[in-house]
This record gives sequence, C-alpha cells and structure tokens, in this order.
Amino acid sequence: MNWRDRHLWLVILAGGVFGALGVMLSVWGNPANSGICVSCFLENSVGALGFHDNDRMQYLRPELPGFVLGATVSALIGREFVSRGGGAPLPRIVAGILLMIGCAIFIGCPIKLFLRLSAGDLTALAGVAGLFCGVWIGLQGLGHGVSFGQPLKERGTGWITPLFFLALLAAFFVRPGFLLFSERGSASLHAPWFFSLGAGLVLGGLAQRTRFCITGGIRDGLILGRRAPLLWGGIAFIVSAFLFSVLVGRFNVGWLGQPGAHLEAVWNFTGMLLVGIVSALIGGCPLRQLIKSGEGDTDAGLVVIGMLIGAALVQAWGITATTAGVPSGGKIAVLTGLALTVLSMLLFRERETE
Amino acid sequence: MLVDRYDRLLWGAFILLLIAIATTTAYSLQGSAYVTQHNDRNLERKITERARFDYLADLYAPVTAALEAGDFSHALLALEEVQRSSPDEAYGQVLKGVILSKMGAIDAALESLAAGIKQNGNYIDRNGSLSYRKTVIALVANQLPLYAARVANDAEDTVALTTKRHLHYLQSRLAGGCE
Repeated sequence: MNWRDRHLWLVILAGGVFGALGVMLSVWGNPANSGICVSCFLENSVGALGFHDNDRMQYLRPELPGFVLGATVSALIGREFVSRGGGAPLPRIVAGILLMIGCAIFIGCPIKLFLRLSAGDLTALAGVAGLFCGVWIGLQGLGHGVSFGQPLKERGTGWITPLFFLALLAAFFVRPGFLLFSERGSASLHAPWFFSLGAGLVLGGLAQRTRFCITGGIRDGLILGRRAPLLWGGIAFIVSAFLFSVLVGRFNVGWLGQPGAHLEAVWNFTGMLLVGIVSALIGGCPLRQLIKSGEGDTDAGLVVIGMLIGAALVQAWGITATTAGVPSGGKIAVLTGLALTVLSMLLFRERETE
Repeated sequence: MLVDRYDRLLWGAFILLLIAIATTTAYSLQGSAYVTQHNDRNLERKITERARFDYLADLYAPVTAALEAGDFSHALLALEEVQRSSPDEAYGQVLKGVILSKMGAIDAALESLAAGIKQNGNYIDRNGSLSYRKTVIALVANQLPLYAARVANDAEDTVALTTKRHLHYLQSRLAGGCE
C-alpha cells in the first residue's frame, strides 16, 4: 500500500465525508439512519412524480440531482465527461429494476447498509454478508466470461441523464401541480433543501473524482486486498459514520427497535445478495450508477432509468419490506430477481469454446 | 449453454431458485406467511369513495332536499351558501346545472354541467355515486336538436354556438370511450 499516493488519500477523504454527511443529513432532518440512501431517495422521488400512490413516500429528494449534477460538474472540470454507451441496453434497465427490488427487501441501498451498521443496527450484518457474497458471486461470473459488452463513444447522448436531473431540480423549486409531497411518514422527514442539495453536489463531485463505490470497494478488496484504495475509502466511510453517530448521540447497538429495519435475516441476506451480484456485473452500486450517468455514461443512465422504474414498482406493488417484515410478494420478487440474474449470467457469457 | 462446469453450476442455481420461488409462492398462498404493509388497495379505494360520497351528500344536503322538493329557487340559494367556501367544487357545479335546467335556464345549466363534468367525470358515470347521468342524457337528447337548428338558422348566434359545444362535449362524455 503506497501511503504517499495522493489518490488514496482523496478516496479516504471521500469516504470520510460520505460517512459524516450520511449521519449529519439525518441529524438535519432526513429519516433516522437514512441520511443517504439512494433507493429510498428514488422511491421518494418517483412517488413525488406520481409513479406510486404510497402517500408516506413522496418527496422529490434534492440529494439525487445533487449527486448527478455534482458528478457532471466534476467530470467537466476534470475533462472526463465522455458520452459513451451501447452495451446491452435492455438488460441494464432490468438490472436497475432488480437493484431496487434487492434494496427494497433489505430496506436500503449499500450506502444505507453501512450507515445502519455504523449506527449499531445489528440487523444489517446479514445484509453485509449478503452483499459480500453477492459481489464475490458477481466477480466469479465476470471471471467466467459474463459480460454486458464494452461501451462505445457516442455523440451528445451523455447529457440526457444530467439534463433529466436538472429538470427534476427545476421542478423541485417551481413546484408544478403534479408533484406530490407527503405530509406524514418517512418522506415528510427531510433536511432543509440547501443542506440536501449542497451535500448531494459535494458528494457527487467527490464520488466522481474518486470512483467511490461501496460494492466497488468490496470488489477491489476481494481482488487486490489491502492495496485497493476503494477498500480504504469504504473503511473510512464506516469509521467516519460510526464516529459521527457516536458524536451526535445516535449510536445504539442492538437487534431490536432499530429504525427502518426488520429481523428477517435470511431476507436481509438475500436482498443484498441480489444487489451485490447485479452491482458487480454492471460495474457499481446504485450510487455509482448515478455518478457514472452524470459523467456521460448512458449505460449507467439506462440502469438509472431501470432504478426509477424499480423504485416505482416496489412501492406500487407492495413489494418493499417494512419493520413488520418482508411481504410474500417481496420474497417472490427477490427470488425471481436472483433467477433472472443467474439466467442472464448464462445468456451473457462468452465461453472459451465458442 | 451447457459447455462446462460453471454452466452446470449456473443451471443448478437457476433450478434451485425456481423451486424456491414455487415453494415461497405456495407457502404465501396459504395465508399464514402473508405479511402485507397495507390493506387491500381496492378496499382502500372503496373506503375513500364512500367517505367522499358521505361528505358531499352531507355538504349539499340542503340543496338536494330543496331540489327533490321542487323548490328550485331555495335550492339555488342553498347552493350559493355552500359554494362560498368551495366555489369550484365539481359536484356543486353539476348540481347548479341540474337546478338551472329545471328552472329553464338551459344555456347557463349546460355551461355549469360541462364545467363540473370536465373536472370530474364520475357525475355522469353509469356506476358513479352521485351520478346525474339520466338527467344529462335527457338534456342532451332534448336540447341538441333545438340548438343545432338555432345554429343552422343563425351562424352568428354565439350563445347558441357555445351551448351547442357544451352539448357535444356532454354527448361525447356520455358516449364513453377510453380517456
């Protein structure tokens, strides 16, 4: 490990800032242990746009446009904004849907997984195990030739996703009549918009610059061991989140009574297993997909569209888990998601004998 | 897709998952494992619809009572009283149209009916609660030929033209279709 490497320290800084803001956004008004949660934010935002009718989950979260536009600005400054894509578009949309199903069963994305864990929520441990296993299985797939194709340079298409999120941000401020905002439930809990948007922009920029990604950190850790900067970024994220949780008095170790958590360990494991496999196969967790879409990657943009669809479906169909547990529809959905993933690994495999 | 050991492993996993899906589905259909986050949404919708029906029926009770008693001027006064707090409420607009039609003010009646039904088509649905479908059908059937004739005689008659447009709008809504 080269401790003099400036990039390594930048990744560690990004992890630290993610951990700190993940806790602080919750202190400033976001739901407990959900300071940053890409899947929750997506479910809230599609609800605000009217794609589902759960009136407790409707709020256009400014963090989301912040992530994407922060990444866009950072990519433009670093001259890394390149329109590219074209690798298996339809499977990527499906992958986005599957990511949201996995997150819905666990109640949170990989970022929230570690925010929950660092706040003392032991129910997240099964999710951690599932995510590690999932990334490992995904890596095995990649090693055995599973591939969704290489992106090609495109002209101008990379701007579509950033412009879409810019439009969402404009809608947040203009407040057209079709937007819905919850007056109760978790979506009614939110930090002031300038904190949310500011944090989103900063984190989006940092994540773009450093390639910060939870599943990417696990993947690199499994491949490179301690030499992986992203692994250290992930560790910095967990340590920072833990310290801030303690500092603000929100650290509470235990299994029971944790916010936004259920005790069905098998399904926590399975949900994150699905997220881990899919993330490894498509090159990043839900946050990473948002960031890549912000730097011109239309393949990631399609995953984001899939995530938006998935976020609407899990709410509209009652798939998502709650503190009461995992509904049977959710169990069937996550198993179906795993089956589809395994099938796609068979279909998208380049075999040596072919 | 069955070339090597990894392929066989994936197929094995796939088959196991299919068995797991079938088992979970069968288990959930027994009902004991069914955990749901909200009630049957169709039931929720019926409850909301009933609440809406009860609320509007209570709100406009003085109006409908006077209307049924044939006291149209009193019904109109009662309606104005209610409409002070919610002037653009669709059911109020429809009621106003019905009352005015009974009083013979057909132009104003059709304007009000069209405005109310544009806001909420439930008031002329076959299965809609508080539906005035039959009243509107009769109005359109009786008035459309008269207004068509008026417009044919005098193309500059803007009042007749406007009312004829409202009649055609109501005719279109009564005819149904996917909208």
